[in-house]
Amino acid sequence: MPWHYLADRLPDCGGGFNGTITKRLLRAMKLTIFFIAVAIFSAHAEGTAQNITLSGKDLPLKQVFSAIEKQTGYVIFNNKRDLDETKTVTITANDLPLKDVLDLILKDQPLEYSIRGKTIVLSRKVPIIDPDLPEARVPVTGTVVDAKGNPLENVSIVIKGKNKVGTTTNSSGEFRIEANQGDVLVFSIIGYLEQEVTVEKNTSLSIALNPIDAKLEEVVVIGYGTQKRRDLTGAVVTVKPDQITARPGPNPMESLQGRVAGLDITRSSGQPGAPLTIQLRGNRSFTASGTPLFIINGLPGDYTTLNPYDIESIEVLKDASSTAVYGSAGSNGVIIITTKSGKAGKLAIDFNTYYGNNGWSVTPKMRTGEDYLQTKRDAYSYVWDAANSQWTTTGALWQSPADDEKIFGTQRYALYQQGQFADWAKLFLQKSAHTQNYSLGVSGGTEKTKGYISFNYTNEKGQYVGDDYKLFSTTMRIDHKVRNFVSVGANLTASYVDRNKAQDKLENALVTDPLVKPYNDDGTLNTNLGNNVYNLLLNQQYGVYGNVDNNLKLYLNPYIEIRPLKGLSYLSRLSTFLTFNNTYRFDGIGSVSYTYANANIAKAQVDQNRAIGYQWENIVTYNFKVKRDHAFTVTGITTWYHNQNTNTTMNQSNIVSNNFKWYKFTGDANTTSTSSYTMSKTLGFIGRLNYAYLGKYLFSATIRRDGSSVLYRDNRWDNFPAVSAGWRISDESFMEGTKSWLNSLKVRVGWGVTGTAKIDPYSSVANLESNTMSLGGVTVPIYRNSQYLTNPDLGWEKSYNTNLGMDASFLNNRIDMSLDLYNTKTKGVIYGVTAPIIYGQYTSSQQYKTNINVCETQNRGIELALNTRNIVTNDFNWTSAIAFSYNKEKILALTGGVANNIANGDNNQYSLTIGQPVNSFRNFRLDGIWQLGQEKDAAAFGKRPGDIHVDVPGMTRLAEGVYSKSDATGAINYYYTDLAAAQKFNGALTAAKNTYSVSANDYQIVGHNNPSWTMGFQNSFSYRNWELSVYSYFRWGQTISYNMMGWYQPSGFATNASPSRTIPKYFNYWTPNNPSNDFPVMNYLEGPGTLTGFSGLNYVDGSFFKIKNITLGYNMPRELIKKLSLEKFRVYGTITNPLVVTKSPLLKQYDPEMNGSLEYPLTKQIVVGLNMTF
Amino acid sequence: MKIKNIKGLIYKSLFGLTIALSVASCKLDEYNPISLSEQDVLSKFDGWKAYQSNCYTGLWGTLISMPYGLCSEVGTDLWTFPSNSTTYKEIIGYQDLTVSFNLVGNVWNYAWGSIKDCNKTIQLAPNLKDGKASDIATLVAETKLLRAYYYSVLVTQFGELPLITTDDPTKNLSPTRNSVPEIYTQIISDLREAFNNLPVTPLDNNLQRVTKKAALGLLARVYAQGAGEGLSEGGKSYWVRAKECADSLINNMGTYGAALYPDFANVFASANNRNNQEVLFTAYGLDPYSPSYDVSTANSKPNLYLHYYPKFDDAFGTADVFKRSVNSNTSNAYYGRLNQAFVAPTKYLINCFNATYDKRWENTFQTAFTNYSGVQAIASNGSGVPSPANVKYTDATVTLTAAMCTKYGINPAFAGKKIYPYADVNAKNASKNATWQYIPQIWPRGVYTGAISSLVTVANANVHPYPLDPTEDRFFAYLSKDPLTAADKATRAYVTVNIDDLFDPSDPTGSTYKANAAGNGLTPSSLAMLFPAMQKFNHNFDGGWLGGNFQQKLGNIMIMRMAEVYLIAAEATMHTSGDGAAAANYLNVLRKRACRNPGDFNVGTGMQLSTATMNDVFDEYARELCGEFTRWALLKRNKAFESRLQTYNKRAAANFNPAKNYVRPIPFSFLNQINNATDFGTNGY
Repeated sequence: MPWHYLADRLPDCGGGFNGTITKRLLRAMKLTIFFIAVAIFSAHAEGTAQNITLSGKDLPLKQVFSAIEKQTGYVIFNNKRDLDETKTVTITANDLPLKDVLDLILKDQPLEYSIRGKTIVLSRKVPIIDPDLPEARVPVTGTVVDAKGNPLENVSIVIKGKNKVGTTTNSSGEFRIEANQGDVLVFSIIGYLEQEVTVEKNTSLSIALNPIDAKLEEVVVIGYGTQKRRDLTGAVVTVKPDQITARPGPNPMESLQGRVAGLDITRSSGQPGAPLTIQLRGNRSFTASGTPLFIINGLPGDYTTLNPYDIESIEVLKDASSTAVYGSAGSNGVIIITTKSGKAGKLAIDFNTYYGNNGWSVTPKMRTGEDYLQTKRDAYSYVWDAANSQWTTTGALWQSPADDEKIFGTQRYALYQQGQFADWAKLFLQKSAHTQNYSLGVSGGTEKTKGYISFNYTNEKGQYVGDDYKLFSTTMRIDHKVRNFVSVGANLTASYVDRNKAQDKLENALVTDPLVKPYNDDGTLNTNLGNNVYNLLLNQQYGVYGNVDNNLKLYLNPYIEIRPLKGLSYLSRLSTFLTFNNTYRFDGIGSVSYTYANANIAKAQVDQNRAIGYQWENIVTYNFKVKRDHAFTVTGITTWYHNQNTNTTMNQSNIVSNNFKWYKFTGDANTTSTSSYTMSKTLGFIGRLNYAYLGKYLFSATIRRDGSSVLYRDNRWDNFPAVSAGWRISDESFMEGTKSWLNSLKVRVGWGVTGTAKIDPYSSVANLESNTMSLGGVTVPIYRNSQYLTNPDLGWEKSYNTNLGMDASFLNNRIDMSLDLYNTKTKGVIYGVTAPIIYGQYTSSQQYKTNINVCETQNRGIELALNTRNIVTNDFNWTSAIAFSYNKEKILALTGGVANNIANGDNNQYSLTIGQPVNSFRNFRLDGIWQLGQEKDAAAFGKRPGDIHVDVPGMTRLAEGVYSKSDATGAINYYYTDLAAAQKFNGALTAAKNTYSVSANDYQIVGHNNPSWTMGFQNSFSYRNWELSVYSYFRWGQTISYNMMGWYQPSGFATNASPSRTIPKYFNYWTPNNPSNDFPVMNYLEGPGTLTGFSGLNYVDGSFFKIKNITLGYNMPRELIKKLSLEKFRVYGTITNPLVVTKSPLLKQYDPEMNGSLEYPLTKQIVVGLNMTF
Repeated sequence: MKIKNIKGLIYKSLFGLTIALSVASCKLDEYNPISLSEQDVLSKFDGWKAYQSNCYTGLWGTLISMPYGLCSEVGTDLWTFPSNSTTYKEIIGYQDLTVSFNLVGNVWNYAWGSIKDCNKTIQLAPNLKDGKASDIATLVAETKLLRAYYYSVLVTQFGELPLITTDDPTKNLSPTRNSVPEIYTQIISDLREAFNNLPVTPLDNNLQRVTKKAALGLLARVYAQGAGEGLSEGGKSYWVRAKECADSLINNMGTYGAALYPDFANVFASANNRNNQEVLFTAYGLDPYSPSYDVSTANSKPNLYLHYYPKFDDAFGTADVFKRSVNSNTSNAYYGRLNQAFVAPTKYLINCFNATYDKRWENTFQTAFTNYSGVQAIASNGSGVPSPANVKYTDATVTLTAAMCTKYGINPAFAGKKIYPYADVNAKNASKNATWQYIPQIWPRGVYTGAISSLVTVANANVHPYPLDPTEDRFFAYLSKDPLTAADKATRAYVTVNIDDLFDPSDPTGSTYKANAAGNGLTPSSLAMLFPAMQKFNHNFDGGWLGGNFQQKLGNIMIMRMAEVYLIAAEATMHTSGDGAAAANYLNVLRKRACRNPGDFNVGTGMQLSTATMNDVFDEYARELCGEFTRWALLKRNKAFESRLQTYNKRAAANFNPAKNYVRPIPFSFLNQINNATDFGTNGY
């Protein structure tokens, strides 16, 4: 197709184009690959006549122009809105020259025209100021406020029909305009319904604008661009700044818990600065991390140190059609964080602060005093009489209280009599852990240069003495328009974390012998608490201990954006980062490690991690319209990423004085150091097309080609396509009838492919590792193969996602709903298959592995976000928000063979089992405890009443004490202790007994660690200046491995138990007189090694409901604010985690969000805060 | 906007885009400065030798520590559960032994672990670009010996196995098993080649590296074990081969650098641990004073010794006669942390020893228990003395009270009498992680000065005088092998228990210790927790402790020693000619050096045998090698589990199932990693 032809045919691209479809533009476009798309949609005009024949009454101007175009072949340029404001025309033209026709129809219109070549350009008439009537103009003043009475800035005010006359409101919502009486003033601003006011005698106006469906108009940040929500075709959720700062804390993501349907956020440790677990729409990968990709201001960054008050918005991209532009990194979803930027105009100063307390953790109440005594007696009161298959007190070591001393041992009995019970939770955890934050943001600028700068300081203290998290951070952003078409800018984020970490061993301490003195009689600390039991108070002595993180992070993102033509922009941006994460650890003389683990040797370690990297991206975006109803956005991107990590670890032992800490490494035989290095690179090419027809038929297509260095050289590249479409049904004419109750309705459908290849660098090539070993008492060099055996075929793990969505709002936008259904199949899941031991052992505890793409997983789910405005009155408002998500996760295929139930996870705590979620627990499924009366049944398993009753899959109970089960070959085996009873079922049996030994073969799936569903539920109330919000959260269906359950070790109550232990008070254990089904027999001879099925005790339903936080706020009345020349002044108080309700009765005094751990309990938090804007 | 500007801008932006696009894919190569390519390193001798060294890793750890230590010994006529214990009932009592039993899994993993490295070392040898031919031959021979040893452990414990002798880049995830004869053929072939090519003195004089005598000794052992499978070679039964190899080594001891100590006490003497003359094949322990300590590649340091010791805390408490806990990791610097009393001797094993003449009794079992002082440690470290050694002489001295006498049934007349420590430990800080060494010396009897100058050094600080004199005042408790009468006990100012009284009389086979229960006849009842403590792996010398962890010891552990060769010779003699006199000649060599007095070696004392039966061979194995990784294999090759367990270990016999217990279960974790688990089978479990 000849280019000049196209040039002549190019349609209107929106206003302000001067109408000249120039060769210049063409030349530019010629060089872009996107032009073809334009060509396809460009119309081929017919006819060349210069005269028009046309007649009609009250014809819309639009229709007239259509006819003109048809008859003349001319193309008409105009602004759509301009035509909307025109009147209808009545015309009778018979072969009239074009010019005459135009003059005729535009006579009383606010438009004028010009003809250039074969194009008619329509533009608004320059208003003619009538010099004859200047005295009629009067100044009109007033203020514009929103529904709540807050002043609205930047509201545009124009006089209707005189478009060039207008003004905007200032930051106090005030305006001043000269107008004539009878003029109609039009007030408009994005997000509010336009309002018209006729100027009357009263020239002081007070205008309140009503919000329109703001959500639809809001600009949503998507991958490499922005879109209006109304045009979205993917599943994207936006989180607003007020939600981000709702829960005071340094980590902005923590507030998002339960707010975004499909995004599961948990925190398992109450330690300040502890990381969060973030998972979007279930687990897809086995080995790769499930954490979403975080993009800050367009580029990868660190969210944990980002000041929540700097955040303008957080967008969560959930489906593949939205994330496929991130290609190989997009599988786990993408979270885009945009920080605030400066605004032209008045300087704004934002100051936020809060102060409060962390603490009030609930920990299980342990057995002490009388309870402890009773348990000890129970442990010694019964003896199993095997000959008679019964528990008896005959021969038991405890017969009466006279035997107490015997079962305690002399020394411990003396302590018992003194009532020396230690409450470790109370001793170790302090209540007065303050938390404070100060954040100052300053923004401002001119039309050309805008700047934003903020400083933030957080100091959060932990519950252990010496545990704290101090964060200093700053964000600086500057955007400068060099020319109208060139902008440059940069964003700098810097943070410094100084974190002191206590040795957290609370779980260990809780179950420790309570019958000890934390302090010796002379006031010194007692170090002899039993084996592996640490007196953490040792570390609270001055100067003996240190474990400090010093992390410095610098992100510098400069950019240049060039907009050579309307609609076309070229953005090149570079993200550089430099992080220094250093950990200094000192276990000095007298510290916990010195005393217990390091055999009285003082040690120090310095661990330094340096990461440096950059990402360079080039983005070309072109927006244009074809035939005015076809809107296109085409985007082309290249992205290059390179990072390098260096680690150095230095160790020093035999430190002679605590004075030296980690500052005086001696460089002799007591010093060792190691270093390591990794790097990776990725390169991606992306093309995207967005198309909208009439704003109601929406379509988007993306393709990304990605390459990564961690994959084998022949297999580095792959493609990640995605398409999606949306239909705004409510914009259709046939929906007119529903307007009264249905404000908007859109359906979306998307499909796409995303990837992950988060495998370790160097794991796709075979290498030798150099090491040394001790051979015959001397050091000799050794070589061994690196752990990962090469798999040349390893490729990307790919997720195929289909998403169906519906957005709707009802009843005057009172109800706003978003519903998504998705199905993600992940194929070629990378799994580090363990090479069976017959092929060698890598190190003493690890086998060789090969990464292969053989597994397959599926995640299907429903997400519902519902926002309702329940009561809206002038004084009182009540709104609710619900975010519900349900996800069903399944492993569809494993290594391709029959292997199943493969241990996985950090401590092999999970099992990969076909048909089950990725993080499933597989262990003994317990059927309670064998009870008195079940002696014969129990005996078939070699068990007694009081032992754990393991549910054995495939086992059939034939009669009392007789069971059968088929083995792998299909043969039926009988299990019994009474031959005669068994012979009733199989006369051929001869062995006197055959008992069944429960083993790992009898493991079953006992639950999964991911929730079945989660729901966040927020209710907000406001009354005049007061506001109250209550935020609650459900997480349901997850099983947790609660370590505390595993501390039920009766042998820990033995006289010389090594070490002595106690258990939570609420643990209801079995004794011959207490037929509990919760815990097996309390007998000092029993422990994890003797109680078959013991490991099954740990698994508990971890479902919970919690009130996450309650906030009460007060906004200072506007009049008062004004007097103080403030923009905003709000004080608030927040209480976090006030209530936790668990489903399982086995979880008492425990917050299951900790996911089974109890080393650092989650805290409750009470803070008061202040938000102030000048 | 001027045309020129736009042009320029477009060109500039396109230039940028072009650069971005031109970043070629080849730039995605990894830069890896932390590892080396196999091809460069392993084609050269030095690299290959370093690769070969790693083949020894499998020796140190599980195979000399508790997992194989117990799997190779318990479940036999020698060992049973201590009082009240059921720990490791899976192998001690064949109860609930399933595919998930961890110790069997450990043995499987560690025996297999180094075979791949052996295969690859052997495979690469012909392609080396440099290196002395003789060194290469030696190293290949060492490697073959190691491979043969690992396979011998596997085939003994597990029977049929996949026989993998090459390192194939493709790992077959559906492995199949080879027959037992095929595996033995391979082992014998490897050992023969090793024997032919190994030197008599180890390469680099490194005492870990194996030599000719190891190959010959293992040949004798493997032939004997294979003989139990009914194998023969060249028309000759493996028993014949076993005897040939044993005889060859016995007759040419000097030629092969092998030796037998003239006195059994020398075998486990502290001074002889590192360079033991009698050892044929050793697992050389870590040297805590050497930087090599910190580069151990083993999975764990051996903790075998403490499983054979009672928990004194449970028997005595720590409030009266016994001063420092052994249950604690930071307490007792003489015994260590004895918190794992899993294995006790059967009455049969105890009765094997005629302690009157046979010094192997007190050189194998500790039956007198003591406190220790840290006078040396305090002197050499001052206030920096580590707390386990911070024990003044007086603090280690017990004064008997009337209450103690009542509690333990000691003659109340001895109230006020003192019991002094027997040992005194020094404390030396070894390199870095190895931390403290607690080196003991002995307080001579009758010297109560507590002065360092009076301390004496003995051959083995764990060996106490036998029999314990009634007037002995350095031990607070004594388990008497010879039953003491009440009157005799009344002469002793310490706790005395007759070993016979520890056994439950309802079990005539002597495999059941009394429970710690009211009315068990012991005073107090908690003394039921005691049993004779097998001390062979309790190395108390300078360099023998892992100081930070009282559960582990660093001494060398003998995988095979010369005495076993005599026993194999005797055993093979019984299986071939059945000549009892000839067999007795082999056994007499061991019996003679075991005599407490040389004059005791005669037929009258029973120390000299004129003719031997197979039972004598079993008994001699028990006396000489109990605990030393042999008993289970011995019973297996003689198909003796059924008969001997029935007679000597009722508790094990109760669950022993000959149809499956002759081999161990194939571990679940392995079966779960292959694709043909059902076909591979569990060995009947």
